[in-house]
Amino acid sequence: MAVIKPPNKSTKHGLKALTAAALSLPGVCCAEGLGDLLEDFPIHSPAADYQYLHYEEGGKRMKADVHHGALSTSLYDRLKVTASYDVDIYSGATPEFSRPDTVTDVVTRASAVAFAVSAGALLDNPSVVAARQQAFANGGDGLKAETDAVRALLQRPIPSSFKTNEVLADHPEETRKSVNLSFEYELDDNLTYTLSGGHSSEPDYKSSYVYIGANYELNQKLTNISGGFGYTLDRVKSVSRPDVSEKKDDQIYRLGLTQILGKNTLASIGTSYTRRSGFLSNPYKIVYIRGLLEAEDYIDGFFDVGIATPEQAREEFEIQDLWMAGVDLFFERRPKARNEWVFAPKLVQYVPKLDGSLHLGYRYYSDSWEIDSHTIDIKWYQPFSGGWLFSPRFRYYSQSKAEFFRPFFLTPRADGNYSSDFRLSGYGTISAGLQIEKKIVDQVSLNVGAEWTTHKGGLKLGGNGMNNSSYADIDYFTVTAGVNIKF
Amino acid sequence: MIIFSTYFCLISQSVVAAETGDIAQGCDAVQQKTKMKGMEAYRGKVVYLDFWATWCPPCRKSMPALNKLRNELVSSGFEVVAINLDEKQEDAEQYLKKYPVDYPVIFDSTASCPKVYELKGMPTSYLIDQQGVIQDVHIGYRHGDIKKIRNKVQALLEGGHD
Amino acid sequence: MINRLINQLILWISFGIVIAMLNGCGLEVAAWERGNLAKPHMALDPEPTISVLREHVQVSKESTSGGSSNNGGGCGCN
Repeated sequence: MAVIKPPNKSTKHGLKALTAAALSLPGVCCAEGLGDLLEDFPIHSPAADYQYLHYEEGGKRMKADVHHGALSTSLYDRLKVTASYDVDIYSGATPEFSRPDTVTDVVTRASAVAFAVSAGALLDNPSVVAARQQAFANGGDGLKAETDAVRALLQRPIPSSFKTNEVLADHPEETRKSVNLSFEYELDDNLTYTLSGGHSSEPDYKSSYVYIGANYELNQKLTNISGGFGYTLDRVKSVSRPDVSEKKDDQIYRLGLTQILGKNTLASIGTSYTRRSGFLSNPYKIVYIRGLLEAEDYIDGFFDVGIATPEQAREEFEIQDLWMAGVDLFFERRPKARNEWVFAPKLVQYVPKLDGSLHLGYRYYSDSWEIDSHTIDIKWYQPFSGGWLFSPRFRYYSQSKAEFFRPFFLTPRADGNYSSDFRLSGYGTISAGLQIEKKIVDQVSLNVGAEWTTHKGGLKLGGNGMNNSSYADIDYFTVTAGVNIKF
Repeated sequence: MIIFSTYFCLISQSVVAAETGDIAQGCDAVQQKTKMKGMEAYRGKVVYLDFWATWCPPCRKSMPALNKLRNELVSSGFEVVAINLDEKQEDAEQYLKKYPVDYPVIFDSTASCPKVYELKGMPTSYLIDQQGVIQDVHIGYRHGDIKKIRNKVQALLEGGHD
Repeated sequence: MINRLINQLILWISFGIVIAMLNGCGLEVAAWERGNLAKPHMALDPEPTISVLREHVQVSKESTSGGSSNNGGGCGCN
């Protein structure tokens, strides 16, 4: 039998030594067990983060301050728990709607109903003439072909000579608060489960989500496959329109693959499919539509079409029932569903000579609203002695416009969907920034960063974004600062 | 397909990996500018051969616990032998200055030892009995593992004296 | 929509084949050779918190979201 020396109990473990000693009295079991329990206290690597972000648009438009705090810890080396709390404060002016600068060059409101009569100039347009001739040749409905062709003409992207007048609305200061909780459980060396959920609340928007995912490492951890499903339920209200109380929900399906390609190279591919449904409009955004009639417009005898009640008008005509916001102004309406696909490959390359790394990311996005987008993200991480990490970065983003987006509408659309929200326009952005991290001691690091972005219709890939040079073009910048503490 | 190729990979490699029951091999690594003693030098002792690197968090986590176990049992014929696999030896030296251990650490920046043992993960440790036979292979290090290691070491120490 | 799903499927199958070929022992990064991959700035996302906040801003300005938050890489420690 080997002689085993008692554990070396130094003075700094005084309490433990004392309890262990007390429990090693004859007849008391498991003295060493308790000592081990204290030694193996289940909380590992707890950490605390605070991150601040300030966002500001040029021209005294929107401003936002975001505060993010998080606490995380690992329990028994297997379960990682993270809790975070965010507060966002927004204020400033945001585009509400836009309309043509002049009215002389477009048809009048009444003419939209009596197309063929008053829009004589439009009828001579070559595309309209061609449509009419083709309809006659095929024995089709000439008037219908003509009307469709005129509508198509009026719904073209607005030509560059057409000036757009953007109207801003002041946004009162609004605060959004959100809580998030996430659990990561390592079932074994290869399989990890994730469960997270959260809730966010602001006066006109409440959102809750859950996400469940799994992550499997194989081939001696050279390959990592991950997948997950998330569900979000939102309630949308409007401070200015008490009638709005709507719901929307999102389902997201994710699939990811990461592969170590060499000692210095890592590649990953992320894909996702998202289905959004419900009220997807922005309840504050307004569109300018020429010639859109409400059901009530049919009964005042102006057109003498023999309609006595709004219900009768709705039956006889395709009434779109948009909410009116003023003369020729309506609250926007988007389709009730949106399907989104994302495909995002990424390459991370270590450069031994410089001890730095290059992060090269691309993302392709496509949705059922006919928006396609391309994002290129380039970051360089350069460590320096003394715990410094410098990271310059560059980003290019380009999107095509939504099918139902126009800065304003010269004629109603058949599907009844309208939006002039610049987020749905065609444009591109270029961003450049620098992020600096400094490790103060092993447990504490600080970071600061700044990024400038210019957002222009003309920066869209292929250049055919919103040609109006002034429309929706903005510059903005963000600054960030944060502290990370590992206990 | 991925799973199939991985399976193929594991099968083809496991033929050469050091396993329980194998005789622990010596390898060319440097211990403070002298060649590592062959594993024969430790015959008669229970040895915990630990492969580690500073960039490996579970390796770092295991070291204070291993050091404590080693100091407890060293007089009973137990020793920890650590083989460091950092490509830059000074990284490991700096780390050890900050967090010293009492057991011998051997630097193997050219990775000749892990090739002999065909490591499958980091950290990997081999528990070697008094006759130089590998009695256990331990991959990874988690909360509670030190208890299992202690039990196995004690069993070997007791067995060796019977 | 069906077309896009089929495209997505074809993409994934081709990746599967490429990865299978890479992993069919042609590609070898041993467990002890991952010191560079373990560097904090070699993580797929070295600054996840900042990324989340930036994405928050981007999502409020752009019509696109998603595509980030993959796992993997790192030291491959056990």
